[in-house]
Amino acid sequence: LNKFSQFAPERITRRLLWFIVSIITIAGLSVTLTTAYIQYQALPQIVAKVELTTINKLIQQLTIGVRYGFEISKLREINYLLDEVRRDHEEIGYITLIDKSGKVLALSGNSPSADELKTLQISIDAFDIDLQDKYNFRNFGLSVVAQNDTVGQIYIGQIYVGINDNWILRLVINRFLDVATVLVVVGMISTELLMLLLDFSILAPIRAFSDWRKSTMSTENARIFTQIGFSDLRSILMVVGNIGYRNALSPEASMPWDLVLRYIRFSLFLFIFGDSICISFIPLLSSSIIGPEFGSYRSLLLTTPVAMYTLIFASVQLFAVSILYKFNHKALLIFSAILSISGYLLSATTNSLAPFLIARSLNGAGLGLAFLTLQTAILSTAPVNKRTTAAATFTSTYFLGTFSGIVIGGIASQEIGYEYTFILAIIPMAVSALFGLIFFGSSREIKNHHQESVTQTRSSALIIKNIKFSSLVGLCAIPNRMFNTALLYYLAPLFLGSVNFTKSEIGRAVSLYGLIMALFAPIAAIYVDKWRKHELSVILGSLICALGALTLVVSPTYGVIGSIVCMGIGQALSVPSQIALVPEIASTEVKLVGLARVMSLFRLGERLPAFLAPLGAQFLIGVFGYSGAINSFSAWLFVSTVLLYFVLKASHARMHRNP
Amino acid sequence: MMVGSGSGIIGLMTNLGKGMAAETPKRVFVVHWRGQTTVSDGLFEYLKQSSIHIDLIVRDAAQDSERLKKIVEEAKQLRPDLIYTFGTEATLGVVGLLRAGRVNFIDDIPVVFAAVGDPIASGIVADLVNHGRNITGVIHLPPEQAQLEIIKDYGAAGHIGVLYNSAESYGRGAVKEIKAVALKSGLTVDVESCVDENNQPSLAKTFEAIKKFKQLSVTALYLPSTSFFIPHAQDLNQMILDLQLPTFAANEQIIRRGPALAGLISSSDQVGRFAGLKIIQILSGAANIREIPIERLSNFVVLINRETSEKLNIFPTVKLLRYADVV
Repeated sequence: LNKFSQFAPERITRRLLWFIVSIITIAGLSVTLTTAYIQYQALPQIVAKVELTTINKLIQQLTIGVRYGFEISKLREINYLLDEVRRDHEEIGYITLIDKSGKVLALSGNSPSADELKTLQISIDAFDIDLQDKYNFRNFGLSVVAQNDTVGQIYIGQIYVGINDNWILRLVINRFLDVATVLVVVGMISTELLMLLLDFSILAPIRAFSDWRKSTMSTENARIFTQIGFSDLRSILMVVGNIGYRNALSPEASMPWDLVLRYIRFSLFLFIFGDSICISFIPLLSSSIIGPEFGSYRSLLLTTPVAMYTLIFASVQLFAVSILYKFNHKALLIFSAILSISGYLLSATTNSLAPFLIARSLNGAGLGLAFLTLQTAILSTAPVNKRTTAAATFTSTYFLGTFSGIVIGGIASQEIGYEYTFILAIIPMAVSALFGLIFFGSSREIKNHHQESVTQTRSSALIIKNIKFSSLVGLCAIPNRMFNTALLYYLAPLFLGSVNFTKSEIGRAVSLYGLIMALFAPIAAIYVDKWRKHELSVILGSLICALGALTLVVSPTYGVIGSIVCMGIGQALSVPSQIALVPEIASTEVKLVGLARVMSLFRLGERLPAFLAPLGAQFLIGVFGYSGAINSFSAWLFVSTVLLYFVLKASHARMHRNP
Repeated sequence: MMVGSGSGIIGLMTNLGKGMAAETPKRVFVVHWRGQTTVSDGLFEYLKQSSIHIDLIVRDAAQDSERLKKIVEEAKQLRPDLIYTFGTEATLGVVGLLRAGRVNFIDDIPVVFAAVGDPIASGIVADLVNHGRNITGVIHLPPEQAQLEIIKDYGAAGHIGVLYNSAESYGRGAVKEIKAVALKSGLTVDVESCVDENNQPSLAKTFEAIKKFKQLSVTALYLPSTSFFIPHAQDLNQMILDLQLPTFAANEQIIRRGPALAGLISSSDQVGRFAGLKIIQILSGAANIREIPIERLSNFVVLINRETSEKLNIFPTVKLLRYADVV
């Protein structure tokens, strides 16, 4: 029995998990890389065959004039036809028409010279195109022959076409990344599920057995175990399994807190995953719903779907305290899921502005409620001395869910369209609610009667009077959140869409923020906590976030991605530290009105103005363009951060004078 | 109306007519203004294919107003089931202006017209849909804005000279429309009439106007539809080639016979067939004439004269050739 109690199930399950995940990762990567390589080899030929039809149609159009008796060299705007084809087929790098004397009649794109083209060997039969890999293109050519009623066939010259090597590479990389992303997300969900299964079938029963043994060893059970004998493992597992099963039915009451956290975490992941699926394409979808018929109001209306979602999400925080004290976690999570699922159903079935805004509001309300519920559930499940770990769990799960949702949403909207993507998003939401239904018991927030005497208005006034708190909200939290909402929810999707990024590319670009936050925030939090450098972390993080916009100087397109990456790094440093700073700088207020109320006011102050971010972004686009709009938000954050630095410095100096 | 959809309705009308085959033949009184045209050919062909037995009574005014009055008197006596008129003058001669008295005209027999350029400007109706008269018909000309697009496509729309027949209500309406379009799109337009001091179109006045346009260095000459230019196409052709003036026209014959490089036209055959469709709708009782709108075809053809293009050394764009007919 002693030997059994020394058995470390956590270590075994972790090793088992690593083993399974490694196998899945290696197998997945091998398959994806091999597929990508094969595609890279085979795609040009496939693309060229498709282009053959396009080029034959082009030749038909080019020769219409000749059929009527015009000389082709005299016809005007032949380039227009070539440009038109290239506009519709971005894979075509150039098209060049050369007459029978070798003179270039028309060209579109970055074509090799006539002499270079003449060196290409043209050979096409019904089944095969001899693609020549030269001059950074996969080249092929066709003879241009016109049929004239009186003269018969007239040979005009040659048309050369180059398929862009970079386009082929981009297509292959895109497909590779799509598959890899799906694998990563599926891997993450599988890992979470696997951990749940291992916890449920191994860890929980063993722990339960260990507890039971400790409490009853000296009595009747010791005799039973002696009789059974350790060789009879099956019998032990039956007993253990029963105990584990019974415990799992009301986990929050009888299971260890870290195992309960796993259930909540999975539920949170799925909810955020479902909610984030549409983030990257909402601005693009809004542009198609809000058409030119709205006239001069259109640019303003374009911002409303994101603004409504953000506003309703933040407004839910207003009622946070009363909602949390009135209902239990299970009821709140299920109600959140119902709101969000209704929003998605409405979004999937409507093409008009008003129902779409209602749908976005429902989603904002659903997320706001779920966010509150799951955050408090996680924090109250963990023991007081493990709150930082619990907060890190919440942050990393939240951003992993965001990352996964955005990338999968980008791919799904490209493959199955917006409507079905909304329907797809309902699945994780529903599973999340199901988890809540099964694994949440009757846990709820309990009101502290000592803090009840202070009214909400009085407490808010009290907290706002704290200069350091107000500065943290006004000079750090708000500009960070505004920049975040404007860039990720509005500017980046619209700008990348305008420069022909595919929906899955936009999804991947925007999701970088979530990925960096998920990976970097917990690590940064550990060291910032260890070194007690929260203020420095807030200032440094905000500066990195603001200065990320400097990458726009190098390239506007990749600068947007650079800004997203810098925002991820910067906010991974600053956001958890802001939360950690609140109890520290408002310690007196926390004692008077409680941490929940102080935190709720912080969240409200931070998130409520965020609905103005898309409106401001739209206005700034009109005045300065996309890059200018991003720069304006970053400049605001930079100036605010510098001001905050001086406010905190002055406050420290005052403290030093009057300790 | 497009050819495809028209054919569909042809079938419907044929079936509608089958039940009436044994009944008394319907009498359609045809009034031509300048003899039988390809528009009337299309109409007769369409009526022939119908199952309704129709007797045609054909009269030609030969561009003579007095003769037209006698034809109207004859129609009043014969009391046909329907009157078909070709052209603005013939139609006005039969139905009169919207606000004119009814004594010399016909308002108790349904009238279907074809080849009227602008029934509103001509004073035949005030509205193409809710016209409220015992009339319907087919407009044979595309909007002037579309004609200007063709000139733009040739890159010749910088300064346009418009030569029109101010004695005709259609010509006046067309000029009004062109000026409005030019104002909107920032084009420079100069306008001259081919009508002399006796309010009659004259060749001398026409030549004088063309020379004036050349002096003004117009980039294109545009001729809105008028029957006056058609018999003088050869003379116009010679002068325009001598002056090397890129010319565009709304009238098919002007393009086919040479002076004009190109223009947007309705297919005459289709205009006739579309008028035939309206006649069958009325005779079969499928629709009330007051509820049948006056319409124009929705498909037009860009007609290009290759010989003129070669002589003027001005060639179309390949984009235009995709939609064009070349003669």
